[in-house]
Amino acid sequence: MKKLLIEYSNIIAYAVTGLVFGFGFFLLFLNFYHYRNVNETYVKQDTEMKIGQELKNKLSLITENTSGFDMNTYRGSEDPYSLSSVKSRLDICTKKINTEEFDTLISKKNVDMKDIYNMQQFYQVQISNECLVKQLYEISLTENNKLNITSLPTVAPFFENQINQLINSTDYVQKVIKNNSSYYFNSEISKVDIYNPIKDSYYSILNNYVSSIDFIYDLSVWYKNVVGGV
Amino acid sequence: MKKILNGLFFILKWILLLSSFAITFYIILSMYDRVNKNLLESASLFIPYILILILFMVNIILKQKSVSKNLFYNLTCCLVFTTIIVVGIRAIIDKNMVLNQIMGYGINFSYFNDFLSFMKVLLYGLSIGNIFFMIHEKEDHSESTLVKKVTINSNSDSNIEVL
Repeated sequence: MKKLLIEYSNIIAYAVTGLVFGFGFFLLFLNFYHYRNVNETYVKQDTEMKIGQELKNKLSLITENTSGFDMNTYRGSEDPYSLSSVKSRLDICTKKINTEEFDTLISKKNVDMKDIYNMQQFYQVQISNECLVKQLYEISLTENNKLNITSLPTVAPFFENQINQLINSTDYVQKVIKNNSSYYFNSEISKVDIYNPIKDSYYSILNNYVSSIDFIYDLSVWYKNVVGGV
Repeated sequence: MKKILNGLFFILKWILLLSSFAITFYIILSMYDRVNKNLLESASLFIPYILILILFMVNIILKQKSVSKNLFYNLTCCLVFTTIIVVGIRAIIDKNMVLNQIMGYGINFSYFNDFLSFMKVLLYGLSIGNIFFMIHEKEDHSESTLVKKVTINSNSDSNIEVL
């Protein structure tokens, strides 16, 4: 009986040690795999590099569109104070976006997870909060905006809708990026079939950059037309 | 060859145990310091370390060869401690895990915190394995005592060839 118990204890000892060995081995290699996933970089194509330059050109066009208005010389039918207010908002927006940090983020050839996080943060702080929410959202409010421009009530719902979409557009990507500190970050299967956290997050955020700057550009064209009397 | 490997893993086991303890202690200390919590509250995290340290000491003091000269057990110990060290180093060094940057403390506490439960499982598993291997050692000891007795008896009978 004693011998049998000792025999069983030996079996249990090897079984427990074997399980620990297997689990330890799994965790060790999971870490190597996770390290590889987290440190993966996406190399941009030459055609993709042009998008950054196009965004810069659009920002210059926005400045050009707003520069046509001078409050002292304006003789149109619209309220000059309202037009001046819109102009200053658009100028602040352009200045907030067109920074050295923006250039660095857009012109990077190799993009890793940290760059995408920085892009997302720049979008959240500079584009979404400082520009869309603080400066442009008030233009879209038809009742309390104190702006007296004839065509504004017609286009305001479009502005509001666009801004609302752009504000919430990076929520999903933000969650994916923050999740990269977890072991369940991704797998090869999900990367191929569903969502590649590096490439797709980058495109998702870049798409938000393009949509936001396009929106500001549309607003500046509307403004130019209002000032020009079209 | 087996003897050399055993000796190597035995020494490595001790070095890795101390290193993994040091790295865990450093991260836990930083983590508790950050949230102004009393370090005594983290005692439960170090119980498996203390337990395994006591068991290793017992193995050496009682000269339990079935544990200290068990190649598989020593290899598993080295693997477990290496895993803990790798996770600890990654929590400190791997800056591409963005929570490291977001928190700004230089250590990814979130990542290490996820691993703590696994670490406990691994260390308790090693302790349990060690205890069960000890029971085997007792049998070996009694057998060797029996052989000695038989040898002494046989020597007195001058019948050495039988043994």
